[in-house]
Order: sequence, then C-alpha cells, then structure tokens
Amino acid sequence: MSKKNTTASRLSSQYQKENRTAMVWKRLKANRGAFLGLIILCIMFLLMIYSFIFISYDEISAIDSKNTFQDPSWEHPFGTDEMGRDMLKRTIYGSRYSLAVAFGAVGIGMIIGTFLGCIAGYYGGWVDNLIMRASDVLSSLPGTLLGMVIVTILGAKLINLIIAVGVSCIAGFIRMARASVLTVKANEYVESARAIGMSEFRIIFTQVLPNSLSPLIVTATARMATAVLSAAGLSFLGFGVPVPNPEWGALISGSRNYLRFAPHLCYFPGLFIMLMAFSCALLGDGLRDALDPKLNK
Amino acid sequence: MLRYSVVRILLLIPILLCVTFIVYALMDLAPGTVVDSMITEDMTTEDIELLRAEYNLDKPMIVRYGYYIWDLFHGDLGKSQVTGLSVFDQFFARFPNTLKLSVFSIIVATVIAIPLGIFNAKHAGTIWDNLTTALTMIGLAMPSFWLGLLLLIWFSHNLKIFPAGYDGTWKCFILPVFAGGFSMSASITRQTRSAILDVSRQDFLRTARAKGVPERQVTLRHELGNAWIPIITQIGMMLGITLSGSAVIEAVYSWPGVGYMMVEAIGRRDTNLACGCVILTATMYTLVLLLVDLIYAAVDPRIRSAYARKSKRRVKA
Repeated sequence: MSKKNTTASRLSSQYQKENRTAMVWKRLKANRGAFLGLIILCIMFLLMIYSFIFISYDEISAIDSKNTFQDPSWEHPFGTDEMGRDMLKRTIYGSRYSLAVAFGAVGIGMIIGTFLGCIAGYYGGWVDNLIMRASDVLSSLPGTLLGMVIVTILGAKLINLIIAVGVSCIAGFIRMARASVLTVKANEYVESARAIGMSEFRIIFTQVLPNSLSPLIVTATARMATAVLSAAGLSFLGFGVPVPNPEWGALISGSRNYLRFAPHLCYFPGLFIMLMAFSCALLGDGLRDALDPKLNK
Repeated sequence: MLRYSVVRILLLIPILLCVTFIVYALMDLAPGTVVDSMITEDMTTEDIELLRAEYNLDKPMIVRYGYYIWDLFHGDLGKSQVTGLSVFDQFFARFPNTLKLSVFSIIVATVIAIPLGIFNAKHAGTIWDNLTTALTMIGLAMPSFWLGLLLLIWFSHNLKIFPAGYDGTWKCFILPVFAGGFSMSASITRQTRSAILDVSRQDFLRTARAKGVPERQVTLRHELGNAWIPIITQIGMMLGITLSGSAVIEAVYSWPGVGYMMVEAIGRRDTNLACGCVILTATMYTLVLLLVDLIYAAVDPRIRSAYARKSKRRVKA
C-alpha cells in the first residue's frame, strides 16, 4: 500500500490478509496428502527437539563392544551397529542434520535466488542479461557435481553441506522469481507506487515481491524434498557431515560393509530420509493447490 | 531454424568457458594439492619445490588456467596427475558404461511412465489414480542409493538372482537400471499426467470426438501430440543428469562409470582429471538440454513458427 495509507484501507488489507491465510489453511487441511505431510514434518521437528534435550552426543557415540550387530529388539528397536551403538537414538539424533539442510539450504537458495531474480526481472536490460547468463552457467553444472566441489573446498562440515546444496538451488529460484516479477511488474499498483515517488528498492520489496510470493513458497517446499535427498546423497559419497556424526546418508554409507548380516543398519536411516522427503513433497503439492489463485473462489 | 540452432550452439561456447573457469578456480581453492600425497620424509625443500614446479604449481592460478585453456583448444585435457593417463582416454574408456546405464534407465522409465501417466489422467480422481499418485510420490522421495542397496540386499545377497556389481552380462544391468529408473519414472509419470490433464480441457478434443475420431486415436494423436513438450523436457533433464554419471548409483554397484571416477578424482585432488570430467559432463549436459530445445521446434509447429518470426525480426534490426 502507499505511504499515505488511511487507517481504513490498512484495516481492510489486514482483514483481507487474514482472510487469505485462513482460506489457504482451510484448503490445506482439506487436502489429506498435504496434511499428512505437515504431520510427518511436525513429528520430525518434535524428534529433533527431543534429541536436543534427551540424547547427548556421548550417549550415541559410546562404544559397547558386547552388544554389536544386534537385530531389532524391544531394548534396541532399530538394533545396534558395529560398535554396539543404539541405532534408534542415532537415527533420531540425525534428524537435526536433515532438517537443518532442508530449511537452511533452501533458505539460502531462496534468499539469494529471489533477490537476484527480482532485480533481474524488475530492472531488465543489461542487469537482467548478466544475472541470467550467470544463472545459465550455474545451472549447466549438474547439482551433485557442484555440491561435491564446494564441499571439497570448504571442508566436510554441516554448514558447508548446507551451502553446497543451497548454491545448487539458486538458479531455479532466480528463474522463478524473475518470471513472477515480470508478470507482477505490469500491474497498475506498481505504477502508482512509482508515481507517488517510492524508491525502486522499496517498490521491489514491498510491492512486487509480496505479490509474487506464492509460487516461490511452493517451489521452496518442493525444493526441500530434493535438498534432503541430495544432501543425503552427498553424505553417502563422503562429501557431507563427517563420519562419526549420525547423518542419515552417512549412516547408510557406514552400513554398506555389513549388508549381508546386518541389513537393519541400512533400512531405518533410509526410511527416515524417505519420510522426510515424502512429507516435503506432499506439503509442496498441497500448497500449490491451496495457493493457486485460479481456485480462489 | 538452422540459424537459430547455430546461434544456440555458438552461445554455448562462452557459457562452457565460464564453467571451465569456475571449476578450475574452485578446484584450485580447495585445500591441498596433488603434490602433497607424493611428498616423502627424506625429501628436501628443494625437491618439493622442483616437484611443485613440475606440476606448474609455482605459477599463479590464472597462468595455469591459461595453459589449461590453451591445451583444451588443442583438444588436450591434460593428464591425470595420479595415474598419468590422458584424461580424454580415461573418461571415454568409462563413458560407455555410464551411457548404457543411463540410456537403459531412461528407456525403461519412459516405457513404464508414459502409459501409466495417460492411464492416470484418464482415470483422474479414481482409486487407481490415487494409488499410483501415492506411489509416484514415494518414488520421488526415495533416495536412489537406498533403493539400490535394498535391491542389492534382497535380490543379490538373499535371493542371489542378480550379481552385486558390474560383470558385463545383461544381468548386472537390471538392479542399477531399476534403482536409478524408479524415481525417473515417477517424475515422468507425474509430468505426463498433468500435461494430459491440461490438454484434456481443450476444445479441439471435443471437435475430434464429435467428428467421430476413435477414442484411441484422440488420446494418442490429439492429446499426447499436444502434451509432448513438458514430457520431453522432463525426459531430457533426466537424461542430462544421469549422463553426468549418477555417482551414487555407480558407488552402490561399483559401476565402472564416469560418475564414481569423478568422485574419486575430486577426493584425491586430481585437479586435471576432476576438471576434465566436470567440463566434459557439463558439456554433455548442456548439449542434451539444447537438443531438447531443438526437438521442441521439430515436434511443435507453433514453436517453429515463433522461431521463424524471431529470426526475421533480428534480420531487420
């Protein structure tokens, strides 16, 4: 809205905003798949909080040489690994890495990509050309490759894994943001904002961006699923969270030597990766339907 | 059309040059060099300096990049710093294995996915549609290396039907093709379903049915014929990605392909081999995507005419 906003119009826009959020929420609840995704994601969050409070790093790395390679039992529901460590606790402890990558990497990609995409779409001309060619270069490198190279340079650490996965989703966000800014830019309210003397920067970030947000949110949620998968893949190859930490991909990689007699070491972490990616994909799908302006009435 | 293709191919050159620079610079930034692993205890500082000079490591990065590009334009990607073999030879000795694997995976995935997608779109909203949609969601969410390991446990270790690694027979292809193809076929199915559903509301389908075209032909010619573009895009992207070597699948099955070779090269700081592989696969990836763009124009007269108009405008300007 403009600088000289009257109280009445501010109230009405507030009202409309709430109304829209409520409507999206209602539609999301009606979509059984999306709701299931949301529930799984919430459970993952609860597991992560539980692991922060109740599972210490010493507990999951303590070696118990009497109880190695135990099959799942009541005492150890997911069995134990080659050093007698409880797999259930290790798997639950690993939820923090996956969630951190899902939100962190997509967050990085979304912030940088959206910023560049908005500028490219809004200004056009040589700025647009420069940013888009850069994004072409970025997207002509396959994601896993770029991830491996980045992790090698920065070192195998969680934060570097997040950066690596984040960088490989920048290009997608640039293109999304640019496309939606191009459609929004033509609206009259952007012109009126310019007419009352708003700065270009403010126009982009208070007028254009909020109105092109829904496709970005949908892409972000869907990208979280791929981010989880590619982070797990990188860790599996040894380009991720360093080994003694129970990242799910690394757990699976560690289980490879014992597949013949202890396949349970491979089953459970993989199941958790799948659940995590599954929930993000379902939620992304549901949000796309819920935020679709064509279904507004 | 020809003009457009030539312009697109020429535009690839600067992009690929940027890619080579980025990859070379990034690999150079990585801590440690290939010399580090060759240093022994009885070497003096001078020996080490000599060794570094042998690999041009005493010169600044930009100069080495200059040498690298100069050689590249002469069709030489250098030698692997670890094995001493030519990068080209090493890459193309392994590339056929990756090519076979990815082409088989794509073919199997497409053959399963397109009929399934059409079936789903035709029965949208029924229980079959919901079931397959759920299955495709699982396919998208399943990490391919995990599926690969599960198949390995069940069909190779327990049932002993298929070999666990590459042995050159047709049998060794089954598990990796399935492990890699599952997620691909899931995404192609989803793309086909939504593309067909988008087209299915068009008027020309009603016209076709009204004039008595049999339903089979309506689906195959009129519906699928107009829904090709997103489907081809999806398939092309998948092919591009797997051609660059699905490193995880190759790691699971100890497949002698380029993906895993690259992983090892990056891990050993074998800059020449890593750069060469990355550059070759990136080239291949962009070429496949370009091919997809050109196929659009070939299958879709609407796009072809748009190209024609564009090039005419350019000539006037």
